[in-house]
Amino acid sequence: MLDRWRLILRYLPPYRRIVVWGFVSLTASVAMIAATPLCIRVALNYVEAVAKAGSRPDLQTVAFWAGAAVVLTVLGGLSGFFKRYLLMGVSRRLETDLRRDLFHHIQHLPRSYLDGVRTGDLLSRATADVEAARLAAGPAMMYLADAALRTPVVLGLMFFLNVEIATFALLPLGGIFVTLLFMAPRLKEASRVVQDQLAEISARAQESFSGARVVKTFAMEHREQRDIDARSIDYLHANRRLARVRGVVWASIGFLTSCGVLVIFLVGGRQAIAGDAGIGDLVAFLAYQFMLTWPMMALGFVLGMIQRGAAGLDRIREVMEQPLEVEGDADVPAVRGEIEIKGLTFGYNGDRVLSGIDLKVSAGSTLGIVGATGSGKSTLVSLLPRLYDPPPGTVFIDGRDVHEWPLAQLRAAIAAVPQEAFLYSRSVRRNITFGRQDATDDEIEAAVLRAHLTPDLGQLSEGLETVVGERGVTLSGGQKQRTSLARALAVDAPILILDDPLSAVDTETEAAILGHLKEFGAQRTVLIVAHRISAVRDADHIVLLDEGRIAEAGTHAELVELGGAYARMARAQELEEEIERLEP
Amino acid sequence: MNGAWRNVEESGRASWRTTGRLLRYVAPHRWLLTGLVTLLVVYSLSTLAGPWVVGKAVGEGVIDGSVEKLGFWMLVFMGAALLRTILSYCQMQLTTLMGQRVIYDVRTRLFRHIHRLPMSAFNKTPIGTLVTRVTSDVEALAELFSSGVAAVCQDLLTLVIVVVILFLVDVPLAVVVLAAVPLIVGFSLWFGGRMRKAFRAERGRLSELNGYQHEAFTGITVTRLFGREAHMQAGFEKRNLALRAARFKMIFNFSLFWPMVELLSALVTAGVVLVGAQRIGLVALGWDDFIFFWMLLMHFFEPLRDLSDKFNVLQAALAAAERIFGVLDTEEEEVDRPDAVAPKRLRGEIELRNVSFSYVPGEPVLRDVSFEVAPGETVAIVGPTGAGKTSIISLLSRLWDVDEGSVRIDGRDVRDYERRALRRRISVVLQDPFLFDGTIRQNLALGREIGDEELRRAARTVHADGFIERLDGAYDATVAERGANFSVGQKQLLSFARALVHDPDVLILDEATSSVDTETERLIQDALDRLLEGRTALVIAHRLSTIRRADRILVMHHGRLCEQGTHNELLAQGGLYARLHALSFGAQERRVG
Repeated sequence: MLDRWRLILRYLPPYRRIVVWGFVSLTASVAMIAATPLCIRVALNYVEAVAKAGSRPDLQTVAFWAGAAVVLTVLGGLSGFFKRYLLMGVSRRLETDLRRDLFHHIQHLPRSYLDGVRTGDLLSRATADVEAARLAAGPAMMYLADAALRTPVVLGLMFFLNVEIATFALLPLGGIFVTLLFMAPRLKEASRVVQDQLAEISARAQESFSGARVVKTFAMEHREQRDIDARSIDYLHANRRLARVRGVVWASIGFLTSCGVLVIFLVGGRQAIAGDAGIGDLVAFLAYQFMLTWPMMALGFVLGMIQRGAAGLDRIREVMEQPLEVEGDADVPAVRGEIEIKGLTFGYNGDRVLSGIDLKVSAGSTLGIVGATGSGKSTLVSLLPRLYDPPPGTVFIDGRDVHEWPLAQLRAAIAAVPQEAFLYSRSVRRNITFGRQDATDDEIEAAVLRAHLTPDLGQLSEGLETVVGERGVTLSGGQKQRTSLARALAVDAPILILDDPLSAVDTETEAAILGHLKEFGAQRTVLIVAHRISAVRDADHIVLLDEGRIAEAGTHAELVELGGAYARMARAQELEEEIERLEP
Repeated sequence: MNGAWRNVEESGRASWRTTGRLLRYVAPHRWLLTGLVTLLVVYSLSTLAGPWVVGKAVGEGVIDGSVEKLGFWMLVFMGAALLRTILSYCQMQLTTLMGQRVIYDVRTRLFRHIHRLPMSAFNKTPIGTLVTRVTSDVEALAELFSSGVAAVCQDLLTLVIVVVILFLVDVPLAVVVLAAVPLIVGFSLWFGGRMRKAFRAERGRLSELNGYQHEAFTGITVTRLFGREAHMQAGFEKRNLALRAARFKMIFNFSLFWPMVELLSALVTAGVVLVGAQRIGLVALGWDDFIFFWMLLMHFFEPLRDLSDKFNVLQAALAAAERIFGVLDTEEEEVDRPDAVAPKRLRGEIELRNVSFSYVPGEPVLRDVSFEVAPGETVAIVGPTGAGKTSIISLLSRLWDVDEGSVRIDGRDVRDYERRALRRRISVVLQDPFLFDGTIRQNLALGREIGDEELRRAARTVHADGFIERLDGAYDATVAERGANFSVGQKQLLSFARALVHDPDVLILDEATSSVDTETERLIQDALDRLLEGRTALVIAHRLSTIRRADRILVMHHGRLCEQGTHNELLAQGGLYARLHALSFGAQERRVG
């Protein structure tokens, strides 16, 4: 078990010099800032004394101390700059490193784990939680260190200058601290209510706009409006409640700060009249009190930051502790492409998807897989590249258990067209060469041709260089599918898996592609999952899955002859094609 | 420096227009606004009263050696502080109240407007964008009221008062301070521009990185299948480092800003000490005035420091306001004709006369369709996917209007009816009834006042009472996540009940395609019979039994009406219907038979 703070602090060692210099700067800045009022005090006390004596102050003396104050401020500012720049910089470095490793880890998590989490959840861990961890490791630590150093130094100086004023000045400062301690939970609660109400409005709006069609057809706009009005009113009240709490907090702090001024001038003033203190002392105290107000106020939210950081790190740790995909054995000979499945039974989370599957596909032959939605076709083909791990001793390639192949080599030997045609938002060319970056222009051309993508490229403004996806052109379902197919065909792999690759293309295009595939697949082992009979008709062997079992198996002719589910599918498809061709 | 100013000027023109429109939302609350402004003035004055009183306390008390005077002035100081505390509280409450009232108006108005947009607007704009308009954008606007405008006004007011007082008290000292004003303002704005630029660059890189991550997580299977994990990692690291670099730049700017402001304040303070020392020596300036000055300076720099921040808030709010007005400017559904009628009841005669219709110009989904439905008749529409069946529904309830021809109900063009009145008399039962988060009761009544007994009777009629009453809370049970807790069949019965509760004259039914178990099937068929009784009904049918019980069947193909007649007539014709029948129900009949 990883310690949560170690999760981010383990990246610290290379940056320790920066951290050391950061803390040196911090110390320097506190020292300079604390020393500045001393100069002003000396200057003012001098002027006061001289004025009392009735003579003119020597401008040079005043200028010296004023100048000293300016120099100290400049130095304080400079060290303050380095403090922030260095320490914040380190926190950003830690964040970058943590994010890199988290990304790497997520990239290699097994599918079985990824299926159980939502993408949005992973994303929020990789973004919001990493940020929370950084805030705790960076700014929170800096403010904490600053407060820890500043408070004793300033307090020490105050007591050194004047014990009585210092003692009384502590009272309002303590008051501020207590007020915040007392009000913080109320403030948090009130703003939580506001957040919740807003989330509710958001959810309601989402639902209401998604259901716009229903809202219109049932003429229920008034109801929707009443509902959102009511929620908006609630939100208004929640905001007013928050403003009341906030108002109390800010007004109290303002009042207590004024009390501080009162104490300084009342106590200090009496002393000054008695001649025990100078006006310079009063002004210096004013500055010191100001300096201590901030750490008092910061303490509350710094603690909050650390709590949120810890929570964020815990959520990151949950992901980082997940075991990665298991790599296979060391190097082995090249894959020929013979596939064998023996007594395979498989399921997810206790739901059995496949049972008692036995299959043999010799190298270079084609297997067609048909069956109803949910019969286990996609699951069956996803076990070969080990997207899910089959039980040991059930799935073999070239007579060797898939678990005994190195994972990278196993997947390199399989080119696949997954059911969902996912494309990255980059150019069509880079999508096609995704599996094989060294593909030549001729090879890309060949893949494009086989996938029947040429006419589509003509329609796109920049052909192969057109950027697709979120930041580019949106392709139609059929275009996506064919690009995904071209991507697989560009890879020269001994095994080709096609998971319903032609569901979104029309019959003519399908026929053309199937023609190309026949030629391409001659030297390869091809597994093709399909909803349409036309896609598997020419396969060397066809299996029909029903509820995870092989219900029928044979060639197209044999299965039609059998007169079972396959034959019915074939007949239905013929009718469908006939209707499609009808022109009214 | 020029860049920053030019930006301000360019966005300025558009901003004035937006500001003008925003003011219209403030107008109804002008009394609140008047109160607020008064409060601001008093508050600013009370803020300045403190330093003046302390000055007096020092001058008349400490320097002149009078404990009584010191005590008196400090008492006055406490009074001022108390007043200021109360004022600051009131001001916050008033600002919040006004800001929240304005955004309440904006939000509800926006919401109403969105629901009046034509269906095409919903198809064009992602729902998420619309939601952002009524949430985040409205919130950004709230920020304008709660922290932006009030704070800026107060700051500027304080600044002006301070300058005036400074000149009244001592001209040379005032000059020293005033000389710093353009310096600080200029610096703050210039640096603010730099920081905004760095910030924008950082946001850009961040969203790029997040986009990349999102895509990488979504496409993880493809990455694996093609063994490109290392490639994806490299792409990620490139963006990760780019973000880090952008952030270093941002940190640099942020780290530099505060020390620079401090430095400027220090220079001014030192100037005050120097000039002040000289003038105290000359006895032109008393200690009281000096202390007054000194404490004024503390208030003087505060507003200048975060001028740039406030400016940001203002800009963000104006940008949000522009987006909001963008939606408000989108045209609503065509308003009803002035002489539009609002029928209490319909006879239920439907006629489509040479109707052509397309969602996208040039891609017709209905071509020259004509048919009639007599009152009380049940007509089934069948045809392959994409034949244009669903479009007919949309035309009848006027979600869309025809391109050519006319849709008539009771012999009158649907465009001559009041839209909402028409929709109230026509119930549409959709394939997948959209269930809202809420109770069963709310989902059935859809905002109308429906009596308990009426509700129960409707549910009983369509056999929905059985499962509803078994639910925890029965009619008050909540529907979770769009009805995820109901089966397909149950949802279908719920939508029947919903239609029945509204007792429509015309019923349009888009039958569910998904299969249900035989028992539920029997219930649904029986419920359907009761629902259709005495109403004109148009059914997009998928179930053989529904088609058979229809008085007439219309067969659609490629947007045209190509056959019509009864089941037996059409089967005998041996045309498209016969083939569709064989395709869809061949298996069904075999299984049943």
